[in-house]
Amino acid sequence: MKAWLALLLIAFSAHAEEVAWTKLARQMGRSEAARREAVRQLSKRKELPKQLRAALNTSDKYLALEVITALGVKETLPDLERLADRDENGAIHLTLAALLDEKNLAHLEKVFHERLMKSKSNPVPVVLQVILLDTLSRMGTKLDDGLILSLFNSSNAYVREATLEYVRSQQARGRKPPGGIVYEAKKDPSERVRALGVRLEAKP
Amino acid sequence: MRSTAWIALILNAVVALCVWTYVSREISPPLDEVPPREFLPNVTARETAYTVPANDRDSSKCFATYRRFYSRADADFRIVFGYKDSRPSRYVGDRYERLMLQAYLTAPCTDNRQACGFTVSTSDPDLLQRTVPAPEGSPVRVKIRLTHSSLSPDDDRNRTDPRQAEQTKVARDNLVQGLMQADLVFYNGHSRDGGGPDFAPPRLDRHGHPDYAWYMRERPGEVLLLDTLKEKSPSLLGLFSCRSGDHFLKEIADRTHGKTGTITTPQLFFYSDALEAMLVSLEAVLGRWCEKDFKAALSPVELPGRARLNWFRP
Repeated sequence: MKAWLALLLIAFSAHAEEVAWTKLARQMGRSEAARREAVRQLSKRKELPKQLRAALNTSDKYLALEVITALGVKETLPDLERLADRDENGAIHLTLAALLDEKNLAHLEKVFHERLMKSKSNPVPVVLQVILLDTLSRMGTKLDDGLILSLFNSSNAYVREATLEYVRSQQARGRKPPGGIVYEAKKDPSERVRALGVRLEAKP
Repeated sequence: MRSTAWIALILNAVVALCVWTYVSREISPPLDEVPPREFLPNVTARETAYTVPANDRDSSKCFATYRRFYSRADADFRIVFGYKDSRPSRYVGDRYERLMLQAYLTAPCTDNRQACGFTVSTSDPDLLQRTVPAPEGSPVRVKIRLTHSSLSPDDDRNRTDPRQAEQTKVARDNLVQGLMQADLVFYNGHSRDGGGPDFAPPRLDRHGHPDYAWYMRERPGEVLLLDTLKEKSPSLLGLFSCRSGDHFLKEIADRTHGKTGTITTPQLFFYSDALEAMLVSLEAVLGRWCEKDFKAALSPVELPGRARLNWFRP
């Protein structure tokens, strides 16, 4: 009964011109049915991409990112790319990754790769280092050994772990691990990193 | 002579390896870390346990709550990120969200903030520590055990990798041990319509969605939670998961006879809302905010009723 009332409320409120997209967006997680209805109503709105692009520079940024991901709003890609350099917690890059398709794959791979390569002049937050490593690992992107070793020299054990997972994915494609990384991993203070070092030595 | 040559060769190799290790660190230094700024609660407390005048301390609910809470030399905090899949999509986000939170907790302290300045143990990357001052007595060492549930951001992969079971156990153990030993336990994850907390890839229906009917019927996470609370309970339990108030609040209050304080939400939580509410709560507990300011920070004007606090007592 409650769910039906919620659905009726969403359907009714969505017809009212003045209802902000943010109000509808906040309905998205109430229930599966409410989410479907909210997504249906939001996707009918022609102004939505423009509103989301504007919201990316406001306090509604994270709500906008949720909607962009849920609806796959690709019109926001240029704005997301512009914001990517200032992404402090990976949320922008995760949204970009959610918008990946065959057409933009090569371009977004370049965006992700360049973000890591620019890390000397524009430092990459730890969580973003892990997100970029995970994503580039799935894409099969080849990073140079110096960058891999820089990432592996992180004081954060989870960055070291993600780096070794990346190296392992490259190993599965026939590439040798950068010199010394297996030796270093096996004497790492973190038990999990040491275990990954042993796995690397064993080869896939 | 032959053995001497071998020893020399081995020694050379060891020296070369040491030199290489040193040089590689010089050539490939670690990337700089950047402290985050977003999500930082832009609220401050006017009333804290520190501002209670010495003469009023014995009658202050605020002071009494924190005196009980920080009664041990080491305060034991547990923060557990549940398995945050987004089925039917393959993406799982808790590993990243954990790192986001960690970035805030380890950032240098500025602007009178308290949920900051923690150091991560070198040998145990899930253990964060910091000493905080106290309004009376010695400073308190706060230990946070911070864990997540997913092995990777790909649910398909996690389902086939045996290491996922180990990661699930790490998160589950942190919650169970925390409920029995810790002063504070925060869970940030899915409610599974009353079947959570959950630390493993979800049981799916034939359409690839989480099997909510099964979770509602079996309630595996809730059974674990309530069975553990039967034994012992923490001073403060925060459930930063969708509609946690509707799903778990009454049962927890019954089981703990109202002794455990709670932070729950009556509504949907986006991940950013949950992360912010959790940071606000840590800021409040570490800064010893009194009830009014704590509640106001949890439910700001723009998000009324975001989270509910039921903790302070004389």
